[in-house]
Amino acid sequence: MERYEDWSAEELAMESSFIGWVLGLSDEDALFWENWLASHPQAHGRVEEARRLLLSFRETAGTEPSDEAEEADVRAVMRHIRRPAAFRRWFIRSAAALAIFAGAGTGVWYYLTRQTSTVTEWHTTTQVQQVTLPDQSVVTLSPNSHARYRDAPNGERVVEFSGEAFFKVTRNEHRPFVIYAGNMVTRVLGTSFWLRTKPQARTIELDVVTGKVAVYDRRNRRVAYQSMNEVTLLPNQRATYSTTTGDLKKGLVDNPVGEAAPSGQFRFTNTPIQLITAKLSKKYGIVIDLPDPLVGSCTFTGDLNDLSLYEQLDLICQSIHANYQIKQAQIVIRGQGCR
Amino acid sequence: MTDPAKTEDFLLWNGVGDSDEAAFNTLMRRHYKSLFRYGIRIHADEDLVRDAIQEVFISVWERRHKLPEIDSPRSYLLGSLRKRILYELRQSRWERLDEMADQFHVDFSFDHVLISREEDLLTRQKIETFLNSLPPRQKEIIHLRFYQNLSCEEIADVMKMNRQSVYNLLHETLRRLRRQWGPVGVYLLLSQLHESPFHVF
Repeated sequence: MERYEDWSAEELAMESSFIGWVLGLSDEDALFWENWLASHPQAHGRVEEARRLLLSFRETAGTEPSDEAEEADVRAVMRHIRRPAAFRRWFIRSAAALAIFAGAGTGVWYYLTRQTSTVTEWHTTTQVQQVTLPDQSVVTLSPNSHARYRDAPNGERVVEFSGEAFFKVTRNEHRPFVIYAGNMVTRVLGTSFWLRTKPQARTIELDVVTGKVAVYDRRNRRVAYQSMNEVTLLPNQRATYSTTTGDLKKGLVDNPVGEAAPSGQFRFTNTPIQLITAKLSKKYGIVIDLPDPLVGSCTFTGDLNDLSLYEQLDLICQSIHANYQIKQAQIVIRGQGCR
Repeated sequence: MTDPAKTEDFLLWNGVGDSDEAAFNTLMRRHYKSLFRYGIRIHADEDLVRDAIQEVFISVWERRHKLPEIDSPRSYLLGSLRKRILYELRQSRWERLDEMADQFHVDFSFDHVLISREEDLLTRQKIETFLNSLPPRQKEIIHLRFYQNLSCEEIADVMKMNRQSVYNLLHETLRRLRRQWGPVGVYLLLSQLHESPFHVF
């Protein structure tokens, strides 16, 4: 770069990349300036002067911020910003109770909650309850479940959830549907899936039935910010989230459901295994891997209609002396091969 | 040159706009120490500075849905802190604003390790006296430019000044400082004769 050639020492001392070099802030700047200096020997005097100017600004150490102060102040701020939200929730609940007592007091409730977004809550005890959200999404709550819905100011449809439920979310690309179950966050546009929080097992499970679902740990967003630890799921896949470690694992649902096929489709006579697995793969949308081509060329004869995927796999594997494993969200079949 | 730290700041800033508490928390931790170092130089009362930092962040969160369009989250935070501390001082009956606002607590002293051996004690004392007697405003600009590594543009934003004034003040300070130093060596003569035209970024 030629532009520094006629710069004065003052101008050099004010230039960001020059400061970066002298104060040791950037290796990239150091490389540039050392090269530049080598090719501009006539500028040595000015560069040395500029360097000296910058090194003059040594402040004597003042009061330094302590880590304890930082921790205490950050916590104080977080407490402060959470308090008003909790108060609002409490306020809405009491206002709702008041309205019921008053019998005709619902108008008051709407008046009071008009400013904040409307929160709706459901609890189930022994019964299954089906609720329709304002966006026409349907949530079927199993017994002992709890859901709270609100329209977030940024347009998101937000549900806080615990228990077990089947979600059928109406597609809306402009308004993501976000479910918080503890620290596990599920983000979808329009899909259907099962969600179960299992406090005893300290896990949360999500089984996708249709569409695509993204799951991540709320706390992980802090580390990388861009959801690097996000898991994306397709139908018949399951995310298992550990509430203790925050780990997310991808696997398969207990009982994969396939597209309905005309009867008789799954009756085989001396059919190579790889053709059968390709057919199953297509039906369930699950990858079935046959790492050894010898296994793929084994043949199978039998009727696999009206069986679950795992029953079908059991029958196939028994007949060819192989076994299968579920790895991540794939099924891997291994065996000796056939003669 | 794109600054990755600034890009991350903007990601966090936008996260705050989306009510992301984790992003907000990270933003606070990223800037807490540099805000403290700046604040404590504006006013030496640690408790007041810490309260002011908390209030700056609380107000960012409370206004997260209508955050202003800004060029740099860092200079926005430093500028808000400056405004907040000066406001607090104005509120306090015991302090006279014109006294307080006219200070910037910085002491300069040479780090002899970093300076070449040719400099004698006399020069060192001359430089220290010169820097320590600079007007507070100039000290503040020096602090923001060389410690907080802010651009002239960002300093102007923080101190509510014109960018060109920041540039001119800094240039003037450096010019006078250079005179305190005297020439570097023989080959220096050439560059001193050749005074470059005033450069504007």
